[in-house]
Amino acid sequence: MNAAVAQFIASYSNIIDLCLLNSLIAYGLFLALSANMFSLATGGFMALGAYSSVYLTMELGLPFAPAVLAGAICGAAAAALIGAPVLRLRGDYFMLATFGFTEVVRVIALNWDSFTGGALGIVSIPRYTQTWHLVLALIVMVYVVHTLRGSYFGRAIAAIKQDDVVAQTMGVNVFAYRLSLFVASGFICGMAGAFAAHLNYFIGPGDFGLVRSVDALTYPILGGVNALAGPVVGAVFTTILPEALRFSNQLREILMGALVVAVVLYLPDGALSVLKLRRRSGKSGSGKVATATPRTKQ
Amino acid sequence: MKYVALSACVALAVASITPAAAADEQIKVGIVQATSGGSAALYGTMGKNAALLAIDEINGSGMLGASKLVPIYEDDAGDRGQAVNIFQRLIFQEKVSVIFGPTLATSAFAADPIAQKAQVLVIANSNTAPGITAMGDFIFRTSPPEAGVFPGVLRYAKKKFNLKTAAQIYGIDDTLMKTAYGVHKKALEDEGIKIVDTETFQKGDVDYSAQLTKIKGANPDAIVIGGLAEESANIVRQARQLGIPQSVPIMGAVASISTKMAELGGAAAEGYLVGSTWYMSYDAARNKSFVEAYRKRYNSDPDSFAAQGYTAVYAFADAVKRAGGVGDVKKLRDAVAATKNLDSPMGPFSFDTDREPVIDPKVLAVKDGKFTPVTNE
Repeated sequence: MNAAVAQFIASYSNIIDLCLLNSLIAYGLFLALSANMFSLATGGFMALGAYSSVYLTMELGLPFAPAVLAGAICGAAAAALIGAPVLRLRGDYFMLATFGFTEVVRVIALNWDSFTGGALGIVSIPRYTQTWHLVLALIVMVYVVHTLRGSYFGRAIAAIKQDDVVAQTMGVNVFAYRLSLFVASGFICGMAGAFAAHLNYFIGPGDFGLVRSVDALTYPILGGVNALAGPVVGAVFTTILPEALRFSNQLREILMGALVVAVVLYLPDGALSVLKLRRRSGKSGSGKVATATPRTKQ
Repeated sequence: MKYVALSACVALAVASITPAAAADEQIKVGIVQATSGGSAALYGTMGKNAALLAIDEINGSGMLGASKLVPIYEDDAGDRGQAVNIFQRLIFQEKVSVIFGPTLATSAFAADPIAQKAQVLVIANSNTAPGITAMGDFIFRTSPPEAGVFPGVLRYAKKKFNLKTAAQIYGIDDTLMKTAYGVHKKALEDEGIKIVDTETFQKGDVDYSAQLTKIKGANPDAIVIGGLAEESANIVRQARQLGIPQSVPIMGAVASISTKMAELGGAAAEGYLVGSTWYMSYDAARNKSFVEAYRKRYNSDPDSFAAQGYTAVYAFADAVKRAGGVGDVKKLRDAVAATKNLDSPMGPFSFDTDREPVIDPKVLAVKDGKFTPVTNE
C-alpha cells in the first residue's frame, strides 16, 4: 500500500505542485478582482519575483526563504509603483495599463542578457520549492483572505465592488483601498513567481507573458469571485483539466474550451455558485451584501 | 477529487502488474511530442509520426526477437508544465525504458532532469539548444546543434565566394534563433571573417527594410541570418528587393529549412545556403525506404525532424539488441552511447562522448525552389 502511495506521489507530484502554485496565484487575482480590478499584471509580477529570486539564490548564494521574500517584495514594489498612477484609471484603461506593464517586463527580460539570459532563459536552477512550502503559503493565504473578508476592510472592499462612487461618498478611501489590494496582489504573484522559478529547473521570458496573465484571471473567475474557495476550485480545475482529458489527444483542446464556456454560460458566478444556490434555497441566509445581488459589469 | 481517486486506482492497478519474462518482453517506450499548441506542433507531429513508423517497422521485422516495443504517446502542447507532468507519469507509473522527445528545448530543460534522476533514457530529435545533453549521461539527441552543421556551410561559402566580411541579422526573442546567432558569430570569427554589422529583429516581424538598409550600407561579402523559416524568407526577399546583389550569398540556420522557406522566398531565395543532416533526395538505400514508407503511411513528405525521430528509435532498438534487453539499465545506456555507424536515413549515425549526434553535415542550397545539395551542382 505504501509503495503505491509513493508511486502515486512520484507520478503526480508536479500536477499537485502546479495546482497549489496556481491556487496561490488565483488568490493574488482574487484580491484584485474583489475590488473590480481586472489586472493583467500577473505575468509581470511573476517575472520580477522569478528573476530576482533566481539571481539571489544562484548568483549571490542566498538561502531560499529570503530569496522568495525578496521576490515577493519586488512584486509588491512594482505594484505600488504602477498602481499609484494607474489605479486612477478605470475599467478597460486599467486593464490596458497592466497589460502594458507585463509586456514591458517581458521585453526587458528578453533583452537584458546578463541578468535574465535573454531568450535562452536560465537553466539548471536548483529545485528548492517543496510541496509543503506551497501548502503552507496557501493555508496562510486562505486564512488572511478569510480574516480580511470579515473585517471593516473587507466590507469597504465589498462596497467598492458594488459601486465605487457610492463607497467614496460613504467615506471610503477608494484609491487607498484599491492600491493596498493591488500591492498585496503583486506581493503574492511575486512570491508565486519565486516558487515557480525554483520548481522546474528553468525559466524563460515566454513563461511570464500575456498567456500567464490571462490564465491567472480565469482561475478565480471560473471558480467564483465571491466565494472563499473559488480561486482554489478554478485553479485546480484548469490545471487538472488538460491532464484529465488526455484520453483524447485530438479533442483535448476543443473539450477544454467547451467546458470553460459551459461554466461561464451556466454558472456566471463561477463553479462554486452551484453550492451557493443550494444553500440559499435551504435557508435564506445572512450572506454578504456583495454576493446577494447580481452585478452588471463596472 | 474524483479524478485523484481514479488515478489512485490506476496507479494501484499498474503497480500490481509484474514485469513480463525477458523472452517476450513488452518494452514500453514513451513519445512526448507537441502535436497541438502553436508552431511547435509542426516539428512535434513529424517526430511523433516518424517514431511510430519506426516502432511498427521494428515490431514487424522481428528485429528484437520476441520482444515488442509498446509506444505510449503523449502530447505536451509545447507547454513545460505538461511536459514535466507527462515525464513523471511515464517514468514512475508506466515505467518506460526510454522517452523520445520532448519537442522543445525549453520543455527538455525542465523535464529531462527527472528522467536523468530516475535513470531513464531520453533521446530527443528536435532539441538544438546548447546544453541539452550536458544535463546528464542518460540524455541523448539525434538533432545536431547548429554548431554541428554551420561551420561546414561557412567553409564552403568562404571558399566559393572568397568571403572577407559578413553581416549578421537574427531574432532576439527565440531560443533557436538566438542560439543560431551565437554559433554563427563564433564560426565567422574562427574563419577570420570580419563581422561588419549586426542587426536584430523579433519573431513575427514582416518589415526588415531598416535593418537591411544598414546592412547594405556596410557592404558585406555575405549575410548570415539567425531566423526561422518565415523570417528568413522575408529577409532574403527584401534584401534582394533593396538591391543587395545575388553575388552576396545569404546563409541561414538549420531551423529555417522548410519547404515554406523556399516558397515564400520565391526567386530571391535561389542560392540560399543552409547546413543540414538530411534532405529528401539524399542518395542512400536506407533513406529511400524511409521516405517511401513515410509517404505511404502519412500521405505527406517527411522532413529532417522526422528523419531524426526515426533514427532515434532505431538507435534505441539497436542498443536494446546489443544489450540483450532493457533489464540492465546501465548496460542499456552504455549500449546507446556506443552507437556507431548505424545505418540511418541521414547516413552513418553515431553518438559522440557527449551523447551528441555525429552525422555527415550536408550543405544545401535553394535551387529551383527546392533545397538541393551543393555537391550535386
